[in-house]
Amino acid sequence: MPKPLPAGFDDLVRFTDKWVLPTEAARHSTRLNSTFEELTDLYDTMLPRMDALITHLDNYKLGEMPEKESNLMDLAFSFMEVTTAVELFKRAGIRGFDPTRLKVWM
Amino acid sequence: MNAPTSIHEMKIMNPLPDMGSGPIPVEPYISPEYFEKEKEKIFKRAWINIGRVSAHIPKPGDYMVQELDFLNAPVLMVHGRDGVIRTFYNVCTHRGNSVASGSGNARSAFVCGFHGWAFGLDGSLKTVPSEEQFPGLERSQYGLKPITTEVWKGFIFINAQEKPATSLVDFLGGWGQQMEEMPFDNYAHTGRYTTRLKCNWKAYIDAFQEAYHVGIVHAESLSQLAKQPDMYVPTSMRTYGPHRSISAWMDPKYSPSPAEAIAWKYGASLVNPIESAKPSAAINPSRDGEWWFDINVCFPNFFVDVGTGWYFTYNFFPVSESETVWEVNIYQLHAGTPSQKLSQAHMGVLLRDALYEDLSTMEGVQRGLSSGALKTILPGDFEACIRHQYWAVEQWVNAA
Repeated sequence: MPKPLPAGFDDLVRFTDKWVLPTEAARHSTRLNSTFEELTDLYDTMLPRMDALITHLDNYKLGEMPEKESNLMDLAFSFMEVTTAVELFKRAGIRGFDPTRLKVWM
Repeated sequence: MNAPTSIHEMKIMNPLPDMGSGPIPVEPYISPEYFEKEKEKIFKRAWINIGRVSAHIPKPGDYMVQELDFLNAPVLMVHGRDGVIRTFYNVCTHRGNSVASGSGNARSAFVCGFHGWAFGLDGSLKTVPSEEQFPGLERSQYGLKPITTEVWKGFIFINAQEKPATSLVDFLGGWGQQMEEMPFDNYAHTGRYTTRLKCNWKAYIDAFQEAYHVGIVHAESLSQLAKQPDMYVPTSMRTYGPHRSISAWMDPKYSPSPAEAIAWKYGASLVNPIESAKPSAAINPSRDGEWWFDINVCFPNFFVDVGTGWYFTYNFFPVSESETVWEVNIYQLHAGTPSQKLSQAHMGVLLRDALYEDLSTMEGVQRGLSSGALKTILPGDFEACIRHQYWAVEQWVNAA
């Protein structure tokens, strides 16, 4: 189910079902279980939108955001989660260590 | 072909102890007997960090249970209603069951799930169901067994001795003084990771107190730093008895990735010394112009690494001579805006993914050392922290 985003960010709604997640643990797990193409799609689409997204969100206070802005914030967290995979590692997974052995608490 | 002469020098900022030179023995990294000595002579005598109030038990009533293998004990940390931080053996004084599990907030008591004995947050015995079967019960003798606990700048330390030979502040000595001005409370707890690794706690620690590995291990996560000349040279080193501190540097010509540039615009990521975000007195003791962060190692097993806009801690809890539990906690300046918070998210992801790279060598190292193929290993000049840890461990293990 897609989640609502503020007006002007309709192009990102298609990502909300998968990537609006409340914790780092959920985002990290989703990244590890995605294809590299899915990560690249999210990254390529959101990168040019980040300034506009951040400008919009900075009109609101942390912890006091309406639902649509909160969803947009979570989507932006997921953007950050996938940046290393796309920019640095060129892979969705982790090399050299089984990531299921690292417990992510937050 | 000779490597180019280093353009950086590691400044030794105070006199080093006589740590010897040349190879150091492998035996301490693989011997069960040596591990037993470490438990008795180090882990049951030193002050050991087991958490931070703001991260693990931030509010009155909060508690957390930990299995501390080096004490062979289950331990209960409690933030008292009176604001005092206490640690107890998580052992009901009736017949030994645990009185708490996991973590949470206890309203007023810990109630044992075996027979209902209830203990206050200060450990005192409050309620004994069917008390008439314990005639003359001296309640004051049956509180939860306390463990000596002190808090330094929000960090919770325990000592297995009832009356430790030195106070926590005296134990920390110059190491603590170096960070006395550090405003740790200005930072929010933003990340926590744990893992259990088949690696000796000292071999594990060694990987994080040198920069020699960066060029190879972090070739992907920190590719530009990996290519800068002299990445492996810490700018400076300080020792404070068994504790130590080194500083790492970064090339100011570092060019951010597109996502990193966004993070830099709105805050400080892992690699970006923004002037405004720097704390003042407690960092960069050698006042390097190209300073990146300080690696501060509290003997025996606790790191407080301080950068710009963040610090993170490592705890290496030994389980056996070949197994360790590692806990990482990340702290970043309280974010005032969504943009700052998103910038900080980049720092957290990059650090975590760099740590995955560090994890890729550990178990192979332990496997190699335990084979007996090597009787010694060879720390280089810029791996002086490894030699210092060996020296400090030997001092304590061989003490009376």
